[in-house]
Amino acid sequence: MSLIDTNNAKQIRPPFLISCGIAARPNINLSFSNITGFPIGDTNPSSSLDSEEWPIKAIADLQGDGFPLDGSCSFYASAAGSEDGKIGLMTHIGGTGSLTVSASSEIPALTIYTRGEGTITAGGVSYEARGVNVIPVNSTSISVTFTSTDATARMEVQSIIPGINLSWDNDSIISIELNLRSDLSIENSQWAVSEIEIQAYYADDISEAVSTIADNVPIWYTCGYTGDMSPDRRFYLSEPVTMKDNIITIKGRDASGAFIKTTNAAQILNTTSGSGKYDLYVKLMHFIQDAGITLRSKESAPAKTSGSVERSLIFKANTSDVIIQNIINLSHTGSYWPTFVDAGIPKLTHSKPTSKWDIYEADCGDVRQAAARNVSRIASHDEYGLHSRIVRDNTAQEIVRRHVTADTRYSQNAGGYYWKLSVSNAKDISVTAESIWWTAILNTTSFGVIGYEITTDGEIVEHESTIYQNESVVKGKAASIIKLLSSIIASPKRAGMTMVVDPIAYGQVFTESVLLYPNYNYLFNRSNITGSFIWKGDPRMQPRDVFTFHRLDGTTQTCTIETIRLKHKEGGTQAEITYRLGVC
Amino acid sequence: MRTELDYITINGEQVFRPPTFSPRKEDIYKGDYRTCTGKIIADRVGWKFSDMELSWKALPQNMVDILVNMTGINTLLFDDLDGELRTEQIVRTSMVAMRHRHTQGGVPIWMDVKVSIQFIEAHN
Repeated sequence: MSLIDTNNAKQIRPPFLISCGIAARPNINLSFSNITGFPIGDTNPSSSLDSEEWPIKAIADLQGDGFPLDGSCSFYASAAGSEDGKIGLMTHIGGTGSLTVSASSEIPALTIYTRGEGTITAGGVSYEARGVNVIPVNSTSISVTFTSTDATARMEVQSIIPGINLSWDNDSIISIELNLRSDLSIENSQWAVSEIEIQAYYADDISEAVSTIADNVPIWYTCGYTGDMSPDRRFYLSEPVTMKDNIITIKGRDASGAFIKTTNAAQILNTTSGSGKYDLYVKLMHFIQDAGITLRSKESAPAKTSGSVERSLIFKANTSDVIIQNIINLSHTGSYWPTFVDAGIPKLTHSKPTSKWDIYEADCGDVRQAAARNVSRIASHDEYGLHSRIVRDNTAQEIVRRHVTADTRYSQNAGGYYWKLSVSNAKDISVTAESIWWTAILNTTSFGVIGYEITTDGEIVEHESTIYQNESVVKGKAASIIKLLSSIIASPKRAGMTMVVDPIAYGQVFTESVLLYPNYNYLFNRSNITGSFIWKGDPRMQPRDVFTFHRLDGTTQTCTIETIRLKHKEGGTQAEITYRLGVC
Repeated sequence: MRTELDYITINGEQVFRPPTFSPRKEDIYKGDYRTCTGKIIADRVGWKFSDMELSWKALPQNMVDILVNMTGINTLLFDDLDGELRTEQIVRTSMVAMRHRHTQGGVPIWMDVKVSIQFIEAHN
């Protein structure tokens, strides 16, 4: 059993260890000159100092209490300073060293990593060395002086990097609130972005420097116990960092915030009854990745079967948040359950989830449950109805001939939906439902030809014409849409409301003879019962995780987490969880 | 002969240990809530010494001055009766109350002196 599980089982739990930070390093490299007063150091400080990820080597040194003879310290070697390890720069015992830091363009601040007691002086201001210091710069160059205030020890400069690279732990975190979201609504569900807000203490006033941190800088967070920390969550700065009365406030959102800004042209998805699961899952993955999201983990695509009935589906032009939420919401069939969750740990799966957590009502506060009105009918006012079918024309029509120049990029709007578009004399082809892009391979060339015709009068007439070689000829097989159904009703019939939807795609995806997408019927099976409660909180939990809710009366319910509001404040942790009954 | 047990030290200066001076340790609970069965669920984030009132039947003027001059964060050094000499940061949370003043052998003595303090450090 993990430490988190063990401690969650306790009524009075030890506090979580929390670690979070912001890594706002601009894409600028530093150089270091005028290095004086450091008798020990790497031979290549311009490389080693500006690489905070290189491990620090402990060296055998007689400063302070000396060094242990357990092999953990190595003899000083002037060759130190590589990705295997570095020693940075060290002052004389109780001494002072200085250097000039230069950047190729103006930097707002430096983050300096040191070890030992001392002061850092830069720009006429002295700072107490705290292990990690952020020094305002607002220039391309600055002189920095390091003074050991311990007469028996050196001051060690381990790394100096551009920008602000700050981290906090329990000693300096004032509060963290994570809002981890999904939307399991039956009606009009929308993609929900997760957010983090950190308030942390920092001793020096760096309000001016933090105000320069750019949007989308990574923010990281982890929580747990020594030896059992939750996976790192990654968020991205969404609002300017502020600092007031030594408290820094950082607000970020998960990577899926990019969905709303990613517009997709109309897309065609050609499937067979044997490849429907595979094709829809891979298409969903492409929509996610095309929005710039790097998946932390993904389930391998489902296997194809031999079914050969061909079908097409057209996603209308839309933003990624709408398309991704729609696929996730309307393609749950049997054990096929495409699901994407970000919340700082982007993960894509297609297998129906099973219960991952056990939550006991006896451990919960403010337990509430609500039931919404059932949906009895789903309808659409779209001209092609709720369900439609794509009819494929198998004849390729010539759409246009283009005279082209080699290695030049071209695009052509086909003026309608096509299930197959192709182009000749082309490479690097990309296709949507209405357009095609390509790079020409060869130049179009032309030459004149002369032809002769004998008229009815027996006269010979000369014709001159031009023939073109290596044109790019765009051809397409048209896709037409047929309305199948305007509405569906729940079976068996039940009282309830009519839900009106606006389909974002025409056509259907099947696996064998079973409709995969858009599976509106599935919504009739989604529970109308929702609830919420306060719980002790677990940093590993994700929206859409399924849990077993052990009720006070001894019964159990299988529920799906919709949102988690995880709050760390004053050292304690608590979560507000909302859920929907059943596996959603 | 007086020993450490007879004094507490505030900001480096000795004051008679109040007769009732017996700092209690209290747990600090956060993230707490009450369940539907009435049970308290919480994280125990550490412990601290309980807020307390220091009171003396009588205190000489020089020691009263130490109390009166307490501002901001102050240091309190005391024997915690577990045999451990502790240094804690405290803030004064009340004005120094003194009922009346006597003079004994030329030394001004204040009677019924009271002051409230809060320990601000938490321990794991």
